[in-house]
Amino acid sequence: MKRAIVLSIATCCLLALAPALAAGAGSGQKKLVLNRIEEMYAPVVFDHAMHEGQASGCNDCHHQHKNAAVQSCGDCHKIDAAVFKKTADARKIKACRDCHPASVKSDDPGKPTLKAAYHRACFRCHKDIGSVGQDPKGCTETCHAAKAQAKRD
Amino acid sequence: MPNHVNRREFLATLAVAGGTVLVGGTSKAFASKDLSGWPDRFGMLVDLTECVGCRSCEKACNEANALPKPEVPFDEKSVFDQKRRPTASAYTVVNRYDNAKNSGTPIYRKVQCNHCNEPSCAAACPVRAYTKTPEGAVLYNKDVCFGCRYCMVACPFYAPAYDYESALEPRIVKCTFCHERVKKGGIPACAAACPVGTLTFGKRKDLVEVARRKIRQSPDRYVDRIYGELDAGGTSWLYLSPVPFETLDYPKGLPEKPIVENTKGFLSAVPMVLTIWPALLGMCYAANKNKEGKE
Repeated sequence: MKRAIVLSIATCCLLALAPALAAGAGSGQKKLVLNRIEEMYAPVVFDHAMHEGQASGCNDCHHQHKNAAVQSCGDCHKIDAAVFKKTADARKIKACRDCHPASVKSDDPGKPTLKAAYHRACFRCHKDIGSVGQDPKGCTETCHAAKAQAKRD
Repeated sequence: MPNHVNRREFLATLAVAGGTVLVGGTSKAFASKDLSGWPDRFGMLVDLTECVGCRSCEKACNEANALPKPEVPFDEKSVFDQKRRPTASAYTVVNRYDNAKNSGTPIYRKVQCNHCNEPSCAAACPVRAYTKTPEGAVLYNKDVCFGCRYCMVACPFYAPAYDYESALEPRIVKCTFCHERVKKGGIPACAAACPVGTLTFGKRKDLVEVARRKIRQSPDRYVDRIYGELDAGGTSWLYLSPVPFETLDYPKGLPEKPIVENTKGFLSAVPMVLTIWPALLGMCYAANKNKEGKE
């Protein structure tokens, strides 16, 4: 049950982010449903269009890989939403899950799992905004619908 | 007369021999139990800069160990108003601390057994209820425990809790590092539940490398220290922090040599003193008595 919960959470986050990235990046994507690792919570409905306006740039959320194995978006494109929309092929954008595994790989324990990567992407800002990181209930206030919570009660 | 001198010399020799055992015991290398044969033992790296205080780890631990339902639900933040310790019904707890670096984002510290390389709880236990396993976990066996609670006194991290509810069946309660799951190839429930990757489970030697790399890559983010790498002889659980560890109530000034070392030399001499000395002195006495009888 706990495992399922954990997985759901992770799935939620991941799914939400992955489609957002793939379909939404720069393409004026509106709302994305993140549910790949959904488990404990209902899928995250991610309002990409709204975040485009809030963030100062794409790489506030989409991290730029600094290792040699993955080509950085910035190698070809100017990382600016307006430019990116016109020049980037959204289908070529790597999804988070392409690099971040669902569970820790013993040969590379330092690499964040998909669930961790999703949450960290959000928490970069949301740790200081709203009640996430201040209040455990912030999870359900801001992003997740608590389907497991409803079940438990 | 010659007898008298011999006896004195004999006793002096014994004393020197005993002293050598004592000194020899303490001057050895730190490892009283050589862990080099367990290079793949597991550990957990806790990155305190990531934790958001969601208490998912507490909840997962509660469910994994079939512990009683808590009085306050796991999504309740009022528990952070006071500092908690692990109890018989909670193997792990998360406490909140003010962040000296950034007052807006508090620091959350998870507390549980650190599964020492050389556990002082095991050394203090008179009935060997504690075992350090090759996987890294320090396990407790309630079947032999008689409830002296020396382990609670010996632990520098205040990890073992006592089940005061069951007076007739004494029972210490503490984190098991989810030993059964780990043996089956799984990972501890808390690490599986953590949504932000605060907890990284892996081989301890790999985690030390991961931690060093993190400090190297982000020197502004972390204090230059891995708590648990050497403290109290090293622990399975390792910690990275954005602020000095003592401000988060991590025990300060623990020796780098295992706490066990403080008493091991002395204690290892006890069996010898108790067995060899009486035998030799008895022989002396018998020889003297025999002589006196002849005279």
